[in-house]
Amino acid sequence: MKKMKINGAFLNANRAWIFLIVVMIIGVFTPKFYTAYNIKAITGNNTLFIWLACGFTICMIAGNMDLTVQYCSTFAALICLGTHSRQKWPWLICILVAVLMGVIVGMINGLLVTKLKISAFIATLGMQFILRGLMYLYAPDEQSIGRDMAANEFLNDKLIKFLPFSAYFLICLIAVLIVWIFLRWTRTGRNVYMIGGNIETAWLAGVKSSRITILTFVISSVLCALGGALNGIFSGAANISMGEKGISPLMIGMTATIIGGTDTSGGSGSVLNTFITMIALAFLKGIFKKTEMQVLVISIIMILCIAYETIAAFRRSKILGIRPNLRNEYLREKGKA
Amino acid sequence: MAETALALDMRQVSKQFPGTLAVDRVDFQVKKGEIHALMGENGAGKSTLMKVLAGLFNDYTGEIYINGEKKELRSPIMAKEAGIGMVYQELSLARKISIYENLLVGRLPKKNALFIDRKKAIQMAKDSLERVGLGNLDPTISVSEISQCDAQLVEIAKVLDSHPSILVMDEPTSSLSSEEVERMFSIIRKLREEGMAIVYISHHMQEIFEIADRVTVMRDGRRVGNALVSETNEEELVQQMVGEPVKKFYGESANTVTSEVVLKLEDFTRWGFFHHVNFELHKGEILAIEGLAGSGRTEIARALIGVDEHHLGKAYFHGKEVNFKNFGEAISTGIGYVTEDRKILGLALSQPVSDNVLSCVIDRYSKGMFYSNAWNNALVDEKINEMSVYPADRTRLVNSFSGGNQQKVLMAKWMAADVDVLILDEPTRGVDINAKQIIHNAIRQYVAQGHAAIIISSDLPEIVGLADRAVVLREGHIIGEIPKEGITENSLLMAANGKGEYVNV
Amino acid sequence: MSDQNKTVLSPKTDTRKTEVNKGILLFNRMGIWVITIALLILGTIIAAANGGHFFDKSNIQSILEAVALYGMVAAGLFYVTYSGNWTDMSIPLTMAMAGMLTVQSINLGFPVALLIGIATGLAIGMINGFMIGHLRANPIIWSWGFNLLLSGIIRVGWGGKQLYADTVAKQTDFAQHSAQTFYSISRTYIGGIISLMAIVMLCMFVLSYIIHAKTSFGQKLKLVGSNYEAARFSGINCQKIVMMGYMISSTFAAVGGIFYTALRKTASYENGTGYDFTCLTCVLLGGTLLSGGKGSVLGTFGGVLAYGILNNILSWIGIGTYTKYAVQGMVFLLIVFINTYTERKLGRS
Repeated sequence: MKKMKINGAFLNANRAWIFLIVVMIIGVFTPKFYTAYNIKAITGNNTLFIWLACGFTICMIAGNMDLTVQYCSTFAALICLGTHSRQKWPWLICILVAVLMGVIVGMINGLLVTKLKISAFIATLGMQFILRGLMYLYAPDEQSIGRDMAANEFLNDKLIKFLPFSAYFLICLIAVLIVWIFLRWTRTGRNVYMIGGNIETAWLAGVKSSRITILTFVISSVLCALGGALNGIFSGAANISMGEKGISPLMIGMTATIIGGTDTSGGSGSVLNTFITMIALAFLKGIFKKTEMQVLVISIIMILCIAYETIAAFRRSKILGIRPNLRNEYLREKGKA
Repeated sequence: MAETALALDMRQVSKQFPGTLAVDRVDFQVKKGEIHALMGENGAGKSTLMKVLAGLFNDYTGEIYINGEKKELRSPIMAKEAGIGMVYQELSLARKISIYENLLVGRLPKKNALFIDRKKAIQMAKDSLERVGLGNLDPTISVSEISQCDAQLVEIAKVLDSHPSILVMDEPTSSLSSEEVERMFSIIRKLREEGMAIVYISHHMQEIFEIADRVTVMRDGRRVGNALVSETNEEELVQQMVGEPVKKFYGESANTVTSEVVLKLEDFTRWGFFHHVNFELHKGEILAIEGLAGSGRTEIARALIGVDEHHLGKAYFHGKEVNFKNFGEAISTGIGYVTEDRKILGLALSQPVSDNVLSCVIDRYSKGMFYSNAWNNALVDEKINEMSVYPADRTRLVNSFSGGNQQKVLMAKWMAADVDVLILDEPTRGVDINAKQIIHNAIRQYVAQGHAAIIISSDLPEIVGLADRAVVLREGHIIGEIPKEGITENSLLMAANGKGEYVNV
Repeated sequence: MSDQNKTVLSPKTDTRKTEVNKGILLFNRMGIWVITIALLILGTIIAAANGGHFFDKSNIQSILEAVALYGMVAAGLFYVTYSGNWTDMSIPLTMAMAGMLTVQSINLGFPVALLIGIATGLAIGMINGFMIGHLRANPIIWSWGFNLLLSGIIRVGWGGKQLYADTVAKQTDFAQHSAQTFYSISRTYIGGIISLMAIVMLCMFVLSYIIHAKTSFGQKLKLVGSNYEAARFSGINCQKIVMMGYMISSTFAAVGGIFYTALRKTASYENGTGYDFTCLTCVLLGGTLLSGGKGSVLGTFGGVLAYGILNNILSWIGIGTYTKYAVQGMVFLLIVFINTYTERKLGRS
């Protein structure tokens, strides 16, 4: 069908896959890396970040940033485990309550951005702190543990016997695929790209941009809440200061989004690419055992991606508005000389 | 009914703006299967007329009939439903999004209740691209990957998808190469054969004679001419566009030109924007750079003052070679540039007058590191009084002034800069007559004091009234020079189109 | 043209937008001091209700001490916001990095170590300024990514360990003395009353005020912040100006980071966590516009004070540290909303 040309643009467009392949090749030289146990542990421990990264990606495709992802997931985990251990509700209800919280947070984010016209970065920055405060109000004892071995074991088990993945990871994979399909194959999903790409065009074509913006925030928060709640069950504990040590989950989410090739001004990107990048990052963390090294390597890759895009945009701006007739003339003159 | 059927019949259409009647009882008819060119100078009212047609105003007066039926075009949606398709000059495509989605935005076909039918969408996109001759373009690639010409055609395809009976194109060729223009024209001719009525707005005389069947000329909001293209010629059209020679508004200027060369460009080139530009500017002279929009006139100014780079050639200022790395250097050497768009490039609208007026002279009046606007209040007052800014209050925020007074503030800023050579880019666009007169007088006075000015303007009477000499720029090349005696609206317009006695290529 | 002469008689005056709500205008200019005074009154009442004295020496002292570090950083961050680049997300690690390098070089003597710390800030500001001012990178994405990179460098460079000045210092009198001097800077009270930190903060605000209000740089920054392109076409070297703004911001953050490190007695990559948000709150509270070009150092100082008083009041009421987050978040959103709302009403986009 389409001819594949290997050039800079092609490499850049597929940088998530290239990143994954490179990391996997490095993995070959790492002792005891490709063991079923190791793969299961690595993917399981990083599943939470996948949820967050995908949530972050959706908002960024629509041209916004959602900084609440981290606290939304932590709060969801606390609510889920808290309602289970305090109110003795069944797991399913607990998860639903947590997701409901996610819906509310997403709605508020979306309304702040669309109705009060506060920029998304600032609005979610403020929300982030409100959530943090509420979290402490809900669980002042810093931890709320409600271990239920059955649920915990279900999520930890391999759902499909010959695949080295935990059920939790597979659920996440399914969610990512659903979101991917939504963004790629539905009208609303395509409109998300449209409002990120050129909100005026979308508006002229009758796309209801504020409704879709709110929807992206809700999807993002729901993903984070679901991921957080399941993560709480999966790991058996919800820690209020989750992720405040080491590299913060929000940062990982943003890193995966940017390395995955989502445009920071919106309009392009893919949750699948973010997912691939996140897997690569998880493997990378498996290869570099030391947290310090992980942070450094990941940050260098990310800063290179940002710098590359900045410089490319800077170059493009230099030849903006060039006249095709005169460019041809220049090429002719140069050919003679 | 068949042959004589009018696709569009606008009767006595008027549109009033505060302070001006932009469109004054205009009749405009377009037949089916006709390419109808609409011409006129900037501000003649042609784009306002087309905006009425696009439904952007809900307070026009007059009647509009489309295919014989009376229609009310009070909103863009009403216009679209009435069968009017507008191709705007600025592309309304989302660059990062694929072509087929741009074409089908808001109406992607669905396979079932949930999913879009990608295959069908691509097929639909292919079909509509076929109509504009882009049959072998892959509709899944993003708009940013295709050429400007293709993007323009995609834009047309998008408009055609709403099955308009009337297609309005506003300067569709302004950013295309000559080969691409040919491609575009063959598409437009094909559409004409399909029976579509096409309104074609252009400044390029050649294009009109190449493609249009009939031409309507507007001037000062009125229709002043309507003829079959085959029965008219360029001189006649130019005559209609410029009207009777007007002089009274611009008083005769005292000739202050001396032989001393202030500024000289030699083989000045920025590849892809303007090539091998040569001209001289004399002390006491107002030199016009005449050319159509997009001919590279603004780019020359930008490269000269060091905002953009230049690749070849030299610039001499008072005989000394200069090569500015940034605009600050140019100002301190003595070259100023009054930008064309006061709101975006010219003024800090949210700041008071004094900050704006003094913005180019901060370094000049700073004492070491220290600086205060208050030291120069007298200068600000002097300059805004000189320019009769009303109200003459230096503490007022610029965005609370009218357009004319904002432009006067912009001029006051450059008068305060006190440079030797001032380049004025559209110095009076969108300002009222009073402000225009004040600004023109200021320019004259400035030059009489022994300075020199270069003026770039789409307002032909302005050039006729002000310029001592004009160099003609066309597609990035200087193609001729018009001495003061020869500067008339006719000669300028002809020369800008590459015709007439003053063009030597 | 000749026709227009007859039909067009342009109105001499233009009264658009002069009918601005006076209250909105007043708030727009004076907002923060109204808030500060209101908070002071509120504080007095609440303190009295709790049987204390708000204007007690120790209370005032604790307010000043609490805001000293925030003040130092906010006095610099103001320049980034003012230049139209929203905020500098690399503030926390700039602080941490400055603290790290100061402690690491304590053997060279305290003054040299201090200079190295400040130079760190200058260097970080230069890199940020180059990327954002010159290459026009997205200010938030870049500075945040750079923040992560700095964190990676510190963690690998020092193996993720915390650094103590007295253990880094060699067992010589000179080095140990330097370490002790370093620790003491955050614990010195001038005349036994006002902490050195508060004095330094005030000095930095005075310096910042002079830079902003009295120098040509401040004037240029104002124009760059309100309309970048117009500033460029007035002959202002915007790239340099934005870069200098970042350099001031990072340098001030570095000073804050050094005091922070001295106060905590340890240097680590975690120093400065949360300062990005808090200091941005103070700057915005002070009436500086996120889109740039409007605001004042005096307002920022008011913002810092208001923030400190608010925190103080919250502790009088007995709200815990963590619950304060929620209150801070709400205050932040409210302030941003009021700012954007009044600006819209005043006719700015």
